[in-house]
Amino acid sequence: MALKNFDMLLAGVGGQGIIFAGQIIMETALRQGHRVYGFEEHGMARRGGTVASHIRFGEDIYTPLIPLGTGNLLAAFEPVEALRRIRFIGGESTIILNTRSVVPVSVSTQSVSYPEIKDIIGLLEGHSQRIHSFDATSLAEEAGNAIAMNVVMLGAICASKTASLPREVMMEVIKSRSPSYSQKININAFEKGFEEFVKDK
Amino acid sequence: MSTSDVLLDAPGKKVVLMGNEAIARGLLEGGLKVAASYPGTPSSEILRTLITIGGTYDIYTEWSVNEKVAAEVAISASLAGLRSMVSMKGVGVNVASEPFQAFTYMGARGGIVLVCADDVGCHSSHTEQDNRFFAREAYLPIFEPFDPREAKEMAQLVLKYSEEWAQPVMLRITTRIAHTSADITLGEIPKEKRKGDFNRLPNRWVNLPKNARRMRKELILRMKNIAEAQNTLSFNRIEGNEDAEYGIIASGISYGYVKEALDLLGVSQNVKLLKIGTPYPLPDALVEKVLTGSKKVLVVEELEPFVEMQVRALANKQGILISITGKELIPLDGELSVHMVKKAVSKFMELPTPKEPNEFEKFENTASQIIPPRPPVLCPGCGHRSVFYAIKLAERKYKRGDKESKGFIKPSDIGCYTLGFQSPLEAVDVNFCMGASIGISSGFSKVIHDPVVCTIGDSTFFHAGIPPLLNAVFNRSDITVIILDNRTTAMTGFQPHPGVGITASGEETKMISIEEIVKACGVELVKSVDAYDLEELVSEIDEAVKHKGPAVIITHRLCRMLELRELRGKETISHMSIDYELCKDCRICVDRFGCPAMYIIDEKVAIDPNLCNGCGVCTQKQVCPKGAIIFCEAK
Repeated sequence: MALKNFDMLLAGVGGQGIIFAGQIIMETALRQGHRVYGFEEHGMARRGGTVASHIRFGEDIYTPLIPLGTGNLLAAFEPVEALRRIRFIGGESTIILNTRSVVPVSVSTQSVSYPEIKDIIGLLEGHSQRIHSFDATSLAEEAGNAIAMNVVMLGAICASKTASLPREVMMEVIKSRSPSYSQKININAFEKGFEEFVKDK
Repeated sequence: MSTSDVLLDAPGKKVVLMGNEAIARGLLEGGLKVAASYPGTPSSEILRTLITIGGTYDIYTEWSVNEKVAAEVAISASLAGLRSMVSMKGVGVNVASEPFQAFTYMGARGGIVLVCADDVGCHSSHTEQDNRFFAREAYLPIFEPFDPREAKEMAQLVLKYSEEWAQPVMLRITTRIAHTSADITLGEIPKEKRKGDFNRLPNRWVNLPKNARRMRKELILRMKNIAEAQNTLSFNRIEGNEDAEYGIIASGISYGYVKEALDLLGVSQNVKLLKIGTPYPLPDALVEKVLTGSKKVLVVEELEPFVEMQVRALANKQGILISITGKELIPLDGELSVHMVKKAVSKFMELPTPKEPNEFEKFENTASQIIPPRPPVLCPGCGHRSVFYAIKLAERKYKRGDKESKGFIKPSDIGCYTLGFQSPLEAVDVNFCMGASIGISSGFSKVIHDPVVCTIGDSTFFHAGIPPLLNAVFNRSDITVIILDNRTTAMTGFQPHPGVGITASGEETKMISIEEIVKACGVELVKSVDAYDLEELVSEIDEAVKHKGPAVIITHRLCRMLELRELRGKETISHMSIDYELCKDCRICVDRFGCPAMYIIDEKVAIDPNLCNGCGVCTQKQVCPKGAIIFCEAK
């Protein structure tokens, strides 16, 4: 069934390549003939702050921000960031979660604690039935560089088929947008994310 | 969104562009020849994109030293008959105010636009200033797009519009437009090759009081004519059901929120919706049409009741007695959302209160209790961290020598280093506008006994730090100024400044020495220090604090993020790790230094190799007295 609009949220931390991932998705959607909106939400920090990218495609969209409780897909590049942005996501959504945490400075300096990953997943399960969690950072390391975690996540997003973004088109966009030194790693990373999702299913 | 997309001479082709890139493209299609700016989020990508375009399409671009100078550069192009733009973040308009207040009397020759990127929601600014009021005060017609596609259409039109009406205009966007990407349809790039020329018109270009009095009358008449023509612009239009008894007037991005809210509520056909794209001058005839044909009217806009006040005034002037609602239902602060507008429209139309989707608020309450905050912090390897750390070390030492003292007063300035206020550094006490650190310090030094040690970045020093430093020398202020030179304007995306030796378009230029400027201002104690060298920093701060009169320390280190960007793909980067044989778990590193790469796991300090980028500052004894932090092999 074709969706009227598709709303996707990428959540993570500065330096994780959320913006690049968002660009790849938007370009892929454009090549599919969609009207697209994408908003990068990031605060003041160049590194370590919380970052989200709202991506929407469809005909009846007039604002870049996903209305609360209606998003179709949440891809969390970092576990607690999934919780931080969950308000934008609807109950019938899919959640893809990288289980590797980036512990904020507040945990070492402000006597707050980082929640257990299983507790995070438990909470998310109360919200959505379709949760796929795996260590995307490890897969990126296997592909050649931890920094390619964002492309592993793209692979999983693509494999989820929620947004109907074809594998070949997305791969083509990734190739065209990757600098030469990271192209091979990115291709590997994409495949690993894709296969991980399919296997998990 | 590849940089090459914005350059394509392919009318009709669709590409994904960010709002700011779309504006740059629109200006190119509108015949832009000169562009100047000072970096500031959320506006910086406009000039960045024009720099990319400029080489191919013969547009002069510059990063000016501040917004006032940028405005003057753009204005001179207009005087020379060329189309120009100046862009800045909302608060930058304060700095650029004076040239526009005067220039608006003279009127434009070449079309000229001030692109103002207001920061509704304070994503990265210290105020939510609504510059539509500035534009009204300076008689700048305002174009306010609701999304990036319309922003591009407006950018394409405004230069011609400005030239035809001989009036400078404002294209006013907000963060949510500037940083939203969308599919943008490319248009024609004009082939006209216009050259600048200057005609002496002293009665117009020299604004003596005699000329100003005459020109003000002309300005008022110009604006009257512009106001009448606003009703026919397609950016202003009535949609929905023209016979509906409910009228909604929405300006800028609010139009989008209203559209989606009406759709979600299923009442699109019960409302006539007036979309406003030019909040000043307001399309009066359209507003009147909505007022006369409705039972009640709601005005939806972010921040100040700018449109609402005009709508109320018009209703009053025309003797239209209907209920008008605005800020009673729409908040004055922060960004709007579909959710908020939905609630407001429900109240306005007396619909049942909308059900909360998926009870997300309840769920979020549970979740929020376990989410650790992720405050913005200085990056790993940042040279500012070590300077702030050294300031704190020097302060502790000072307090040991003077038990009465409450320590240093530490004003700072606008830039990445504002983040020095965060725990655990806490080395910033006062911060509010560009260049204020030095002026504030001068004032404190006259009224407080404790030493005043302020910090200001290199780009900010060039922007607004030199006059207050002169003032400190002139008025014999006893202050220590630390200029944090990271050789770029880092926070806004690494733009060059006069100290870098490269222009916006990448040409070599004279590299201005901060040391020489400081000496030329008359400062007698001037020191240069490596920002990573803690021992040297502490010793120089000690000396500067003891010195009578203004003392300046300039700390040098290229921004580590910029350095890594240059090294990427060329060199491998080493990182630090902990030697647990030596570590005595004193926690000075995490409790006081606070590098985001350091964290506690299983009750022990650890260093994340993916975050650490090998600056090595933490290997010094001031951070790790036991020498337990060591260099690791390259990753």
